[in-house]
Amino acid sequence: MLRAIVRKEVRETVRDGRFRWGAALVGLLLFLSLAAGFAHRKEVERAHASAQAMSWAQWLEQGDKNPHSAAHYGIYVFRPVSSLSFVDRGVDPYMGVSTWLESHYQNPFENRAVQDTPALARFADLTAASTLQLLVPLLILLLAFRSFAGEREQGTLRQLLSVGVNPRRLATGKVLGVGAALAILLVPAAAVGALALLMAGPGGGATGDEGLRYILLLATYLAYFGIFTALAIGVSALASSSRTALALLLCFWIGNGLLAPRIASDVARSQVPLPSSLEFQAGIQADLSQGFDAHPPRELRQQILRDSVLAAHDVADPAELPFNFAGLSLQSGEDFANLVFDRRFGALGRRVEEQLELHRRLGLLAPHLSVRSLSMALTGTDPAHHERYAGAAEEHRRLIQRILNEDIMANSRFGETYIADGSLWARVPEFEYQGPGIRWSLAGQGTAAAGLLVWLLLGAILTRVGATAVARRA
Amino acid sequence: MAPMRRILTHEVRGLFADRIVWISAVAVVLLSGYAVHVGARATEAHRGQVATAVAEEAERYILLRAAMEEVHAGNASPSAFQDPTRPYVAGRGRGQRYAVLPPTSFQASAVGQSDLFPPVVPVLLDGADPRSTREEIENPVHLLSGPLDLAFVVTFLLPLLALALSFDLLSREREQGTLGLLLSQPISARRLTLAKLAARWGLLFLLTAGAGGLAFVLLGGGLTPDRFFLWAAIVGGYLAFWMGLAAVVNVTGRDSSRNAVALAFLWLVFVVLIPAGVQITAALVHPVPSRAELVALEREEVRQVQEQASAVLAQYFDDHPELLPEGSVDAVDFQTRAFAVNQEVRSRLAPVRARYRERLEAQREWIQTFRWLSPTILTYEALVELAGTGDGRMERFEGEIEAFHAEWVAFFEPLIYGNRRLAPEDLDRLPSWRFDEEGDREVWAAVLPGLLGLLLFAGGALGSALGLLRDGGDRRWTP
Repeated sequence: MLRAIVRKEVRETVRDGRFRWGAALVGLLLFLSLAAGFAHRKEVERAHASAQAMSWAQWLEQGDKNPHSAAHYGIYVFRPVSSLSFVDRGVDPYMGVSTWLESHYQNPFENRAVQDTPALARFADLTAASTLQLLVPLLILLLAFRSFAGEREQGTLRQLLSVGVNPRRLATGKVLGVGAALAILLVPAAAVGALALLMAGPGGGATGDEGLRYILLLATYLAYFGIFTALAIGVSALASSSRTALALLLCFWIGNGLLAPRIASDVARSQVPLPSSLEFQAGIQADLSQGFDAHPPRELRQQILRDSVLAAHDVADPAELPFNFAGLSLQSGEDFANLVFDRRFGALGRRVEEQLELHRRLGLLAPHLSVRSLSMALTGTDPAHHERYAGAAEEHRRLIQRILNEDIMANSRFGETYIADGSLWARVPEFEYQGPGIRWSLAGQGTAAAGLLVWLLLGAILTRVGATAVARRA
Repeated sequence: MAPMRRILTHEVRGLFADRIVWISAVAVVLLSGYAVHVGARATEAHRGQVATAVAEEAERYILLRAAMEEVHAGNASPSAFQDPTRPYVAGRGRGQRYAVLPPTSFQASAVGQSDLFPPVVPVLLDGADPRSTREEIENPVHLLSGPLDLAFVVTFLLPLLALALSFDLLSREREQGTLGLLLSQPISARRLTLAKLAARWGLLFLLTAGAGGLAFVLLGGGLTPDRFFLWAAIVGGYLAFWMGLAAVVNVTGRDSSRNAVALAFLWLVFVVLIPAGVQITAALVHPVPSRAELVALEREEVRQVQEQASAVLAQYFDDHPELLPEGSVDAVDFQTRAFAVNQEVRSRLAPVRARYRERLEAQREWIQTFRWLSPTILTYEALVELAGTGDGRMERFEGEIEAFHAEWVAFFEPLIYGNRRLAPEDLDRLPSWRFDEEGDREVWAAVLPGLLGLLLFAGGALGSALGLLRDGGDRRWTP
């Protein structure tokens, strides 16, 4: 029985000109956007790898100089692009791609791709992710809004029910029918995606567990499409006419996909305000020069360090110490600055995370927010993954400073000019980023997953209620 | 004209009785008001950034002057790297000027590129690049979402509301069986269609323009009449296009729900697909290279130039012997050398940097060529240009920064090479920034072609609907 219903629904859908046109259009877009995403990813990966190799070679070949000069010269590192970013670029274009690891300062990431795009790019940003998050749901709505309402208007619904078809089974059949018709479009797309993932390779270690990520990504989008199918069929059963059903569903689509992300940003911005760049930098400078909490101002810090070191070694002059005091002083400056950076950047990161959690909570009202968050987390392109990379780069910066300052302490005398020979630079390990596994990526996504499940449940309930109502009304 | 007027009155009455119309009207008013509020807040933040920068610069100059006077009076003798009378010190951090882009009077209408590009760009001897200046702190997900500004409401949502009001323009009358009755009156199907369209267009247009205008007066910091007039004309033309499209579908289509689906697809094609297609092809045909390689390349150039620093300097003094200070080139201090190296690196990298801009300009030209494919692109481009947040004004800002930077360098160059010192009163002679704002004529020139294009689209859609009605449409429409 169910099989007959599904077969009828699929056959009817596939014969429908609307479906053919719509599916062809959306399918074409999906394949094109996947291809464009793939090519873009490849190019960015190449550019970043080559730039990083160049920067590393420059570091190694900088010649003989004082280690602290070398520390100022520093290294540039470039964020690797995750393999799955061809599906969802997430916030990649809006984040800087490189940072300069130099002494004394945690530099922000620079060179955002979006700065080299015309105004239209912002407006017409079509990626595989936006096709999946916006256009496929629209296709589903346009396919399914007539499923019950249309049959009622044509009078076939009454006939069907009169021959004893269980309305719930009918609703299930309709849901599965839409699903099967969509599968014609989505299964090849998923296969192409899997192939592209295999071809993309490990992606510079930006993320781990790519295969599992891809499967979960498919599951996430499947759930999202399930929500829309169930809602569309539920609404179609409950609405008084197919016209009303379409109006309601389109309103939902607009509210969910077009308005919700924008309104959520606005709410997050006003609920959890971020400091201005000027305030943030001024805060760091104030901490560095005046100290914070129990930490005294800079001059006093330096005085205390000097006095305590001299006292510990029982000497009167830094030149009499068994190591170069300049190196120790530099490192102590780094250690204090690191406390400041951890504190300031940490606070900023927490606020951004609070904003994002607000977005995910609002996902209970608009599933688009949930699916977007999950998709970016799975593809490793959300702000959290950027933060993690920035953290690793910062750790590396601190390691470089420590190695160089320790060299100054050990190999030079206080007050004399010290030139280290070029072999020192190779003692700094090359920066290699190991991306997170799936567990880390999904750790903060509980609310988003819950949002998606709640909506799936809501859709199922609506379909069931709709089916019951259909039986009663007919 | 009596029956025409009667039909019109009847239509308006009918509209007022329709629930969808009321919902749409409330949606237009709420969305427009909210959107102007969003735009006004963004403009306010922009204005705040500019004001902070200007205040910081003024304060810094007071301190700088005081410090210079101290040095001149002989009360202070700072190191060469701190000495404010040294042109190399004054021309960098301590005396740097800000190139600021003030918000336009109509900026609340479209956020455009303004949330991506910093309105404040420091200009110092080392350079001035708005595309690599440190940006405002913002959650990247918010940038990804895009703003809910008036330009978004007009380009994305207004067509949907227009379609909600007109997808069953004629089909509903037929389905209700009233079309025959109507056409039995002394009025042609074309007149009837026109009246129906006019009623709906008028309603939406008045609501949008009224709500937008009111929101501007209340929230957006007042109204600039000529810009608002242009804005209203764009909105009117765009609305007319969608109404015309609805009429075409109604004339050729079948039942209401099929019309609705067809129009939803058309919305998708014109609002999403064609703009995305134009943008994606522009990026494919004229790809902008990654900035990552520029970072490493710049370093490479610096290293090479530093190795030849003496040669670079010698070349300079060869060309300008009058500036050669006492002693040989080898005795020239670190700052002169650093300046010369920086200048040389900049000039060597100029072609590489120019490539980014050329590619971007080529993309823009591509978009300009293909914008005629979709009224949505025409509308969006016109709206952001009108707000002063589009590519045009951004490019102008960039160009003026470049010119100002050249002026800045030209001022300091002879002072640095001549190893001279600045006096406090020299501060008054420093080049100062003033943004040469687009004139009204330029704004009109940027907006008018798009507006004309919109009117052509609208005329084309309306014309084909009416044409189809004439070609036996009257008969076809009689049930």
